Amino acid sequence: MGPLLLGSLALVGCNPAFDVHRRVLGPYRVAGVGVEKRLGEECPRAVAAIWSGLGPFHDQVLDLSWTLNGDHLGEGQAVEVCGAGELELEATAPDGTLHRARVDVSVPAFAWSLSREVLSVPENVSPEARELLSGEDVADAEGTDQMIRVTLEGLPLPHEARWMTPTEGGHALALSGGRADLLALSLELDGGVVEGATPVAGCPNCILGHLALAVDGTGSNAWGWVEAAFGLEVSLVRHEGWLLEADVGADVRYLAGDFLLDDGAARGFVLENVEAMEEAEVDQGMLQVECGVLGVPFELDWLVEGRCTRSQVNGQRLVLALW
Amino acid sequence: MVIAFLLFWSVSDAATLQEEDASSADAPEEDAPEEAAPLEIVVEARRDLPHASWQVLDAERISDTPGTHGDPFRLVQALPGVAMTREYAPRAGALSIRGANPGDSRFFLDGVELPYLFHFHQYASVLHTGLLEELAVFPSTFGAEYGDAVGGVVAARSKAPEWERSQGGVSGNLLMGGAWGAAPLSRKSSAGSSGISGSARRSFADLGGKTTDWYTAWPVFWDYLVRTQGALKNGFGVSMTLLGAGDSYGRYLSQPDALDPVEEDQNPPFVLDRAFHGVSMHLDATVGSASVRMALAGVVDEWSGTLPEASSVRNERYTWFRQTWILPTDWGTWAGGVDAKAQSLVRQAAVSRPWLELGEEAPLLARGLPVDETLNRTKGGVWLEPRMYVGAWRLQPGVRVHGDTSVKGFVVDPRVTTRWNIREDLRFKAAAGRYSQSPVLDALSPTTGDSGLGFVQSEQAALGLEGAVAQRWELGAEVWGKQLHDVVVEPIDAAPVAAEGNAWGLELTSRYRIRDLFFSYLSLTVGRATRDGAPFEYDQPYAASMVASWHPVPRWKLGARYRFAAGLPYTPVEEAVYNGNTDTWEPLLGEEMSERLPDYHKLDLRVERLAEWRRVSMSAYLEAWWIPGDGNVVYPAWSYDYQQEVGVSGPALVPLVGGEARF
Repeated sequence: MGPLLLGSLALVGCNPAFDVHRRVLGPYRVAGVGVEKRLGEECPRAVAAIWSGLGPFHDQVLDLSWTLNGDHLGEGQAVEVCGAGELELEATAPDGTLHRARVDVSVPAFAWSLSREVLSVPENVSPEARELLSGEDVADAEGTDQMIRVTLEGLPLPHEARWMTPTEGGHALALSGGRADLLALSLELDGGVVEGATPVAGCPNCILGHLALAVDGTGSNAWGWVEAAFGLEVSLVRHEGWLLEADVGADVRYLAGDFLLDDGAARGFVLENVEAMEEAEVDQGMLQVECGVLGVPFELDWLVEGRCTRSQVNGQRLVLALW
Repeated sequence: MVIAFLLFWSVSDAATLQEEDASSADAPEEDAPEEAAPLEIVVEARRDLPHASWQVLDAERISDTPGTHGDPFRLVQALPGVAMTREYAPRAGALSIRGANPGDSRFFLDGVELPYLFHFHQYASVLHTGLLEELAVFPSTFGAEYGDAVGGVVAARSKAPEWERSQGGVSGNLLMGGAWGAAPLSRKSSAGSSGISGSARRSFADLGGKTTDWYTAWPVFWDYLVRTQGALKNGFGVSMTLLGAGDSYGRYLSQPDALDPVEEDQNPPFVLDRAFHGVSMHLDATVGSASVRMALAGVVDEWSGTLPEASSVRNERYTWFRQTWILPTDWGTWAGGVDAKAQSLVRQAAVSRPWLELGEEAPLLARGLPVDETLNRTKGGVWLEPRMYVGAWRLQPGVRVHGDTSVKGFVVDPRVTTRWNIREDLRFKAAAGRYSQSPVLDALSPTTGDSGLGFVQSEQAALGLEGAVAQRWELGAEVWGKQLHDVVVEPIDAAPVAAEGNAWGLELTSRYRIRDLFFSYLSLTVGRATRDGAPFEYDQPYAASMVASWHPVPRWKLGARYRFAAGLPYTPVEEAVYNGNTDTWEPLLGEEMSERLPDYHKLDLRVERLAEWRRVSMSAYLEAWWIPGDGNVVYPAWSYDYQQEVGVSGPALVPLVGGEARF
């Protein structure tokens, strides 16, 4: 029985109040765990999406310890997993608290791409009502009354997407099929009806990010940072789920920029001296960021999940793939 | 001739208080029930029942007690030795008597064993107070007369129909309304008399068709009772009772505000529907100073739980027979009897995974195993108890033999009860014995249970003193203890297991009254109860209850009740593991039952105004309860990742307005 049945029956009762929610990225936590396998590697590697509690970046090297079926595997991110079974993770937060996680070893056999559409915010934001909406493909949008629908294209069944939003970072209203409607508004909802909407601080003219996690129940997990822009009248390019300000051509495949730690920036860093690069201009020497994966362009998601800290890449010129 | 005589001479009623016929020349005169006093709130009638520990509650006075909503079974929870549960808690209606599981006690109404006692396990009991005559509680160490229980026995008796004139009443409060009535079918005559009484209640919050984000069908409960009775002049009586109750609602599985829109869209609606109907027939006969009573009852209890992709049905049918007899002798009386229960239980579940959220409402869905089975059994017992009077002493050695076809065995339970009237206003009592109980039939299921479970057994003892000062201030003290063996513990997600346990307690009671003006009742309990070395989930080391009523001027009644008890224990969550497969957190439990809810305080106040208009007696009352401080925490809850724990609170202040009219 619902615990508050009698409360409802008597028109009284109290819901528990927590200052954390599973769809809100608040304090340090494990937000996802799984394995990844890159081309040319024999065994997959254990990775975790650790939310720092600070923003889409980390300032301390992660303290992670992995075991496979009870046998110690190694420390840190991207530990090689040559075997099947259950991975267990012990993550020690900077404040010393221990966070445990487990997942079955299962290599995800898919990669998603992102599409974005712009729609108006309906009065009824229930899934049924929003399913009836359609919009236009965009890279950015204007005004806080706009809603950006993002779709994780290529997400196979039975994977489901879970959307997590930083505290006071807007709203992600999920839909089935790997879709979500992202808003730069804090909504007060009564059922599916919008009773109140407050613009997120700094918006419009903002970019808000969310963590998308795909799970299928067997451990074949993937995650990524997904951003939506609201009211920005600047040119944006797409790096995975990120939207970066750069006035470059649409067919550019690489971008280079100087990574500078910036506590005043919403993302915690800025990219300066941004310029487009052709594939031929990218040499191996530019792809040697030690905390990342050597030999491939840098991925800003590594900052979100904790593979790299801001200080590890501060001052480096990073090469990012655009797609 | 003899056979016919015996058939009519075998009358017993499990719910009827078995007042011993004490017409033996050597036996002391039994105390007669006290005459009703309209101002008193709680009365344990001064009777002399053949058990060491018992309390009798008179319904007319129960209805005046604040905080019970006129519900006698809720007042049972205020008796010493009965765990004090919290209003609005999921198991607010659980009756844990002297360290026993609620399921280890037995509840009878007019001889019919009730499938469940409270609507939704919480709110109101399944009986209209208007037709309740009285309610007896035997918390432990009862005589051989009762069996198949290692906990207590609660026996309610409905009001006998009126012989002289029709009566009735309507009552209601903010949640439900009801009516009762009684009428003679034939006037008293030389041939006898007969009458009929009945009651019905229903909640009405659903009548507007209201639904909420959580409820797809607003909760509905109802109950009814009809009793006919005939008394013949030659000492024979016959009565028949029909009774039933039902609960239903539809709700989404999870609270919507904890879900994201997609999960909310996928939140399956669950429909609960449970109802029982019973019929019982009672025959009694008194020939000279001997008496025989017999009851035969049949009950159908249908319980279903439905989800879009799973369903469960639990249909139980049982017939119940009970017979007791009392024969006077030169030294006291012989008492004996037989009881039997034949059960047929159909259990069906079409389910592919556990739905742990439904542990209370649909246990078969919670377990998650497909089931399609019919379980049958017959259980019962025979008992014999000589009740001997030697001067100021009364001695009752007894024995009960209990057997069960599903356990494939029988047990012999010896018991003894004694009482010593030290002087007119001071009495010593003591009892000890062994008590056995069959496991519930569900626990013996070859699919979800353990068919190898045996009898639950308990050795129990109690001794106490009862006295009165100036026949006005009554005092009592009782200490009791029990050992429990093979107690069935049923986890939601696993087969039942057997546990060992023990419990003890000391209960002090005081009652003071000035007839028609003032009444007070005070009880204090200390004790402990354990299971396999850990605190029992209803372990309450200390509890106190105070009731007072005052009739300051005619037509006005004032009442107050204060209850205080230790918080019930619970098992804390030490940490949680994130399950990356499902994006959920799984709790790792700490030491079993090592934490407790805060102490519980509750103050109930009641003001009632009485009025008369022609033949109609009317009353209107205002009740309010107040739970100060953090005492209204009903259960702990954890954040999604179990990192934060808070107490879910019930309402701290609740007013209730109600009224009743009798004609």
